[in-house]
Amino acid sequence: MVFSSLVFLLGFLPALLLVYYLVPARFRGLRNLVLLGASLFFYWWGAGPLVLLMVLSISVNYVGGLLAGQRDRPRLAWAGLLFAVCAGLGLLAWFKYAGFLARTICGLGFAVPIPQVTLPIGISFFTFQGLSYVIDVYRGDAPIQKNPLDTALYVALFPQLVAGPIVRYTTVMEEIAHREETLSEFAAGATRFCFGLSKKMVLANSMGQIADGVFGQTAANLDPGLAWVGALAYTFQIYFDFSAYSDMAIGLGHTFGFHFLENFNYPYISRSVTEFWRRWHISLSSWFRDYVYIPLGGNRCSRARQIRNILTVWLLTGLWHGAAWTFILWGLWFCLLLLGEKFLWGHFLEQLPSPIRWACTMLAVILSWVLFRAADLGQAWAYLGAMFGQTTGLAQDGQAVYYLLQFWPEWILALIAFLPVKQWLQSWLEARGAAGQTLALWAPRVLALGLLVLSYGLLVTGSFNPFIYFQF
Amino acid sequence: MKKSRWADWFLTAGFLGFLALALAVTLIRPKSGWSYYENRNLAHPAELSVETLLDGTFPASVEPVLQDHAAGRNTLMKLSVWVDLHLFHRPVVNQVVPADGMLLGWNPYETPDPAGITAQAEHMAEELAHLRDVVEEYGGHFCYAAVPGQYAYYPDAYPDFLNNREAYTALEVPALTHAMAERGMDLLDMGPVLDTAGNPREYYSMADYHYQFGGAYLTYRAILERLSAELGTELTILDGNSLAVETLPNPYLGSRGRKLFGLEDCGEHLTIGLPRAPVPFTRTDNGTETAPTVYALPATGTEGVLYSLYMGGDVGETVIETNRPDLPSILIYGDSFTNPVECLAYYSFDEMRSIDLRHYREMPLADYIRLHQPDIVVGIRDYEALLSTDYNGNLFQLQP
Repeated sequence: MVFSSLVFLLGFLPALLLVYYLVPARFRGLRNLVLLGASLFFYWWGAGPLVLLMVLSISVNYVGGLLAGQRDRPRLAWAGLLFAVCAGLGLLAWFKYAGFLARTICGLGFAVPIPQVTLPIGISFFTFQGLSYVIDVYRGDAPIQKNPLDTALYVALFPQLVAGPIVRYTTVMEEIAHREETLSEFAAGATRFCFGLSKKMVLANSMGQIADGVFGQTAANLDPGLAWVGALAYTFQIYFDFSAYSDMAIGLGHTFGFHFLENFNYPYISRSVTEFWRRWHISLSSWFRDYVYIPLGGNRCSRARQIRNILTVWLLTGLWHGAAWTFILWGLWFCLLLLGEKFLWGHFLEQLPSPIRWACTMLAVILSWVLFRAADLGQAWAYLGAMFGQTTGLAQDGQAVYYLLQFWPEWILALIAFLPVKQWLQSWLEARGAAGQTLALWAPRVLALGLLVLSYGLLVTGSFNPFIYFQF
Repeated sequence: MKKSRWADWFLTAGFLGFLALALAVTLIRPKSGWSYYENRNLAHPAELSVETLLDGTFPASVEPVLQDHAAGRNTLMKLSVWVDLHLFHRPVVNQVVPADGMLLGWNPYETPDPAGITAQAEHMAEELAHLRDVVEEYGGHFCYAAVPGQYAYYPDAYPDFLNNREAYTALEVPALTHAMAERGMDLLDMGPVLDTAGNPREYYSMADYHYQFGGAYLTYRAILERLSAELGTELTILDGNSLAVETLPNPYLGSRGRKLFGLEDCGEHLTIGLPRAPVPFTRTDNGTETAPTVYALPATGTEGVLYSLYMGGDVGETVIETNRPDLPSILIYGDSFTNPVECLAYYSFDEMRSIDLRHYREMPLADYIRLHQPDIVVGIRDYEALLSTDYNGNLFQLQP
């Protein structure tokens, strides 16, 4: 089930809110049970029997956590950690990477059977989330969760289940047992949800139509203008799509009393790639930082080992996003840029005027999304070539103009929405005395309800509604 | 603090109230199975059973049902079209291009492949030659006509950045003409005929893919003149003296206008032609005798009319008998472009059969022809479908 669906908006969400809030707050365990049951139903609705895989993953993490927390028996704790890591990553490897590995081996001339495996929705997210729990318990950063239902609720909690943000156990462990659902939290959450929903419906879907239209063509035929339009559209789509989901997840979390950490912080205003990765998919980059980079030695080691650590993290980041060479190359591209900024041109970059630094960063990011979006390396190469004039030009037929004119309101909105306009307006209004503060209080709420109605309208009248990040 | 609480109540009540209201109205509003403006059946849910729950069929069927039956759907869709047309002025709205006072169809971008088109034309010509052989086997005569669709009639009305398929048409029609000529067949291409007539605007619809009565009449005339010449007999052709032409006052909702929920009106009306000296006839549709008429005339002068005015729309099999055995019989097959032609053509024949293979499933066309052995077989297809082997291009197989 996706948030931007009528099943969710008119069926699942109202039903869950009704049942959840009918249970008195003092029966926390029962409220949690309602939430867990709803979360499993939410997953089952889209994934069917694969919900059993998630239950298996939860069981592995629960048992792993019980063992990993035996601090007075280090070997048992180590065995528990190893069990959870091997089982979790083993499931991920089989469901996500077995086919890729087999195809790669076949490509090298060895005949091996290619397994036909259905990728469970959100497996990368719930696997990493479960692992963070066991590792935190092993490190002593978090206590053992003895109640399996609470462990299950942490992993399966529907707002962040299928597309993040990757919530750390330490972030929500207190709230699972003791949280307070308040009117102001609910209102803030619902407001955030409405903004996220409209971001998805208005911006991400429109940009997705453009990107799909352009990337669906033979890349070598694209004229440069069209290739750039497609790349820009995808650049906007992936940001609005993914950050919209995070907005909705964080907002829904609020409505049930949970506080998830932010996942995006206006990444497209970054003036370096390093800054970009501090602002983009924060929950994933901090996961890799805390569970891979720092344990490997981080930057408190020789330069050669630092390079090795960064390379490892970015190979894994690429692979996490997808089992394909394009994703690996995408990870390596950022690895090179980050190493360059760290050791080569970082100081020089800092001397340049901000607009130039921003333009250089965005160029690197846009090119990276071409790698990310391309079906294979051949298409990626041809597409990048078309962007820089290496094209047959057979498709010089006005498509770029069409995509600009057809979606002109969405292009303008996208150009505004990637900037922190909301913050600027909020600060500006709040500095305008009582009237400004009243406006700052009411305007977002009125706008949120308007956007809810608009999103409903777009859901009813449109059918183009895929979520990008479900494939991860 | 108090203000903030009011604002929170407002948001919470608005949020929950909207969801509850939308759900309630969706559940209680009268259900319809058909969407008039979209011209399609609305979705219905899969049967609820353990099996459909487990295999995911039922969950997957719910979202389309909710979308199709959601509260305020028609109003919202109309509003959406209105906004796109009048506020955003998008060049394409619901796959319709409002341009130059017309409503044109949007064509996906394409890079025509000359070799592929030639191969398709060769294949289609081969199929048509086989059909011609079937007809000639029992002494019949075969004629094949190609008519431009709206995009080919008004190519210059498209903005430069949209595809008017000129490049495709320029390859397709000559390829088929050549391939048919190689097999001893002469394609009757209405494109040059309409060019000679000066391509008057009133010959083709401004809000529909099809021609208007003028274009249909010219096609009818060209076909009958061609047949008369090839058969060496003078077939009766209705003309200005023998045909009473009347333009209906009713508003015409073409398929493009329909896609725009009737919010754009090109001011078009449909025209009919009635013989001044009518001949009595009987009509049978799909084996059932129906009213002896070729026009589905509206009850009043204000009621809207559709292209289905002609022959009552698309029917699998229609047989019109005029009971004049001295005249030849004719079979006309093809898509909706045949309908207004048939409204006139029956007049010149003892029996007119009409087959639309999009709806006729009893037997393949070739078998139908062998069974009924009409003296003349005429195929009419538009440029868009000219090389397609689907339905009215599938001549020897039973339709799927």
